[in-house]
Amino acid sequence: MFLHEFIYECKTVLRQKEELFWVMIFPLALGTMFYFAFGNLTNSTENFHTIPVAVCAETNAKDDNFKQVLEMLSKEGEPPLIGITDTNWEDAVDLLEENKVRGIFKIEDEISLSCLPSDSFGADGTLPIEQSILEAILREYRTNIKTITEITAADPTKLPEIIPLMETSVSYAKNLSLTPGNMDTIIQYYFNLIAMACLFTSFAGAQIAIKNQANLSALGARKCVSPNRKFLSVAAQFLACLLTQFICIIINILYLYYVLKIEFGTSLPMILFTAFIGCIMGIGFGFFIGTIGQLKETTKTGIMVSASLLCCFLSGLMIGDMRTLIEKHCPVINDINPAVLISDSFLTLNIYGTTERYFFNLGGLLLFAVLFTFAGCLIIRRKTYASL
Amino acid sequence: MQVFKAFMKTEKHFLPVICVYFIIFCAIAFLATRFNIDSKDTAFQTTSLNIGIIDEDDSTSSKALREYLGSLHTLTDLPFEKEILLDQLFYRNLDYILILPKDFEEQLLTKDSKTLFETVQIPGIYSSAFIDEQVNAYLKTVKLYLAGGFTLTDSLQHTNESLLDSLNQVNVITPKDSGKKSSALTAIYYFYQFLPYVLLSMILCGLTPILTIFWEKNLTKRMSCSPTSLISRNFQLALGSILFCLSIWLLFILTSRIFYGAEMFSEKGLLCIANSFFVLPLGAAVSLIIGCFSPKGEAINMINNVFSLGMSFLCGIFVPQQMLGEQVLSISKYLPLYWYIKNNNLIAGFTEESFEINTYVKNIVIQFLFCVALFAVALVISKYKSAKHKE
Repeated sequence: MFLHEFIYECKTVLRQKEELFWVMIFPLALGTMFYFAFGNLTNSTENFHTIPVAVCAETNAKDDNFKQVLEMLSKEGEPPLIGITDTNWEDAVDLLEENKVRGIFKIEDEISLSCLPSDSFGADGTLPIEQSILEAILREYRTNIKTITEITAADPTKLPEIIPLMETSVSYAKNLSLTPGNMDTIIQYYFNLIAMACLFTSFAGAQIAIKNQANLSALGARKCVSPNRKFLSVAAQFLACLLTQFICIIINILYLYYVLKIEFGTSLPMILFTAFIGCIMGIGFGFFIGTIGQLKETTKTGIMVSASLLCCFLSGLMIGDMRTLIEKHCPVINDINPAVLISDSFLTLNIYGTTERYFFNLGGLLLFAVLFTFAGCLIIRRKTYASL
Repeated sequence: MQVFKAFMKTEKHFLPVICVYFIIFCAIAFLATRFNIDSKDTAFQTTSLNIGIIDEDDSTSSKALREYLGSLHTLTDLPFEKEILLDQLFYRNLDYILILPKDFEEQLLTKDSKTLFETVQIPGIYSSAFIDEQVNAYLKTVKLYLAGGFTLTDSLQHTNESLLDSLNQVNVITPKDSGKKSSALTAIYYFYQFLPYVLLSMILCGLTPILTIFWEKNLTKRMSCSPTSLISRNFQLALGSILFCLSIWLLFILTSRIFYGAEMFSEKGLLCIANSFFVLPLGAAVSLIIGCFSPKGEAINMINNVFSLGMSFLCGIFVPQQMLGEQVLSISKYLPLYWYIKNNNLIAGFTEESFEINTYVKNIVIQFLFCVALFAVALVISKYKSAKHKE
């Protein structure tokens, strides 16, 4: 009997197009849109690109060393710090106004840097920091001149010693790589997307409750008079739901991983395992909502959609910084938000691997799943109806 | 006018959903306006970042470096805990983490030392390159002074003075056409950038279900045997749809007038309004096409969501067009809202192209042609469907 119920529930779920849409098609579509819209975002707003700069050098300028410094900076490094365009002042201003260069170094008797206002129209978000880097280059040069003057004034014999030191471009830094994971913040949108899909499995979970309660559906009424044990029936339906919904989520994740080539920063089986726990939690939540009260099916669906989307909103699906904002002001919301628990599990896997925090998140999800399912079972067990 | 009356009565059922869209959009627009309008200083300001610092040396040199960086950026002391450091970097609460090891001062005094400090950073981003440049410049200057025979204390003092003396010597060039810019206008452009998403969603939510009802097979048959002629019926439906779309549009124009005052009816404001008008026939045509297929309630919701979100993501409503990849833009050129956003960017000056009325009109004509094509598609489908009904 268990197998019979299991197979028929699988067939039923797979034929419910609306549920399949929200769990499979909608996340696929949203993931694709994220991919197209955010694909170039980090590259154009954060990733370093050579800074284009115009240089207007007067032929009889006293100070030719700065030009040499700029030429050296435009050749060193991969990518080089700056890219130079030699031009006259009028053309340089035109280039600046068209946003084709980020600043103009004018080399006369004095060296000056000219830039647009950092909030000017047509400029993208990287303009202020690019201007600051150009300013830092000029500042370093001026400082070097001042340093040499001071050292020469104090002890001219030291000059041969410091000139080579000044001419070399050095880096005293050692970069520590603490994680092999993906540090691009855009990845959290995809993690939240999977969390949303997991929470949307609640629609299928609610159907289990509705189909087993005589006062909510005709099917429930028929089932109540059948000699079949309710526990067996609910268990079979729960597992069938879990299997079918998890397959939808797997398709989603495989699509993101293999087609859109999203770097999750961890192994695929771990991502799938985490999503599996998320599905258990989603179905448990839906099952519980399905059992409470005599609300109409549409009202219950409304509650689940609102609850799922609210959780995802607070977790950063729509606004990436939302989670950090809540962590600062009211961290307890993050501790109990299932969408945060799911997306944070992915994030933990991505950056730190399987740490205590990962298992804590999974524990939280399982606890929610057990509580919801248990509460739902308590509500629907041994119910008798005098008249329907 | 029975059909018109029935249209309006049915419309009442969808008003709550439409109102929710309107209220959420207005609330976000209002908040965004409040946060965005801050007059920025036109003088040059070097970018101030958030740096996490782990000072294991706690020496005179490390304190001097901290003091210098602290005058330019915001410093936060951190413990060396992997999870905290990575969390702060991932969420960009910190842009850079600087670790000064125990032998920092010792190495600074050593003539040929190669590594003086450690960093945890997101490789290949601007902020990492910027702070690297600043810290290296600082240390190089200290080393120059030390090589020049200065004592450590003097070297640190001179370095701080020299670097801070040379700060902010930047001329700001104000672009020629920036005189007309105002913060109210900037807010207007953003309002009209997001407007098509909400307009489309509201039209699709309010119009598609009604058109679907009127296209339903049995209702169509009942109406065709009524004394109301086909022309009169279609005219009343069209009148209802036009009235519905126009009222939503006027409501938004009124809202933007309340939010942004008289600027809304300046030349640029009026251009934005005129541009937004062409979203209405687009929404109506798409509703008509979807309605022809008589989808069920839930399916209408699905199609609306995918259509409006998809178009908004691809055409540059949610993410600015200049940040979308070349490939995405080459696809979105075949979508009408791409030309809407192009016009909005043109008015706002968000593109490298300078504003020319011919380009603006050309973009509007393209939007209009898209609408004509969509209406033609709707007519073909409805003709095909009604022929099928008759069979």
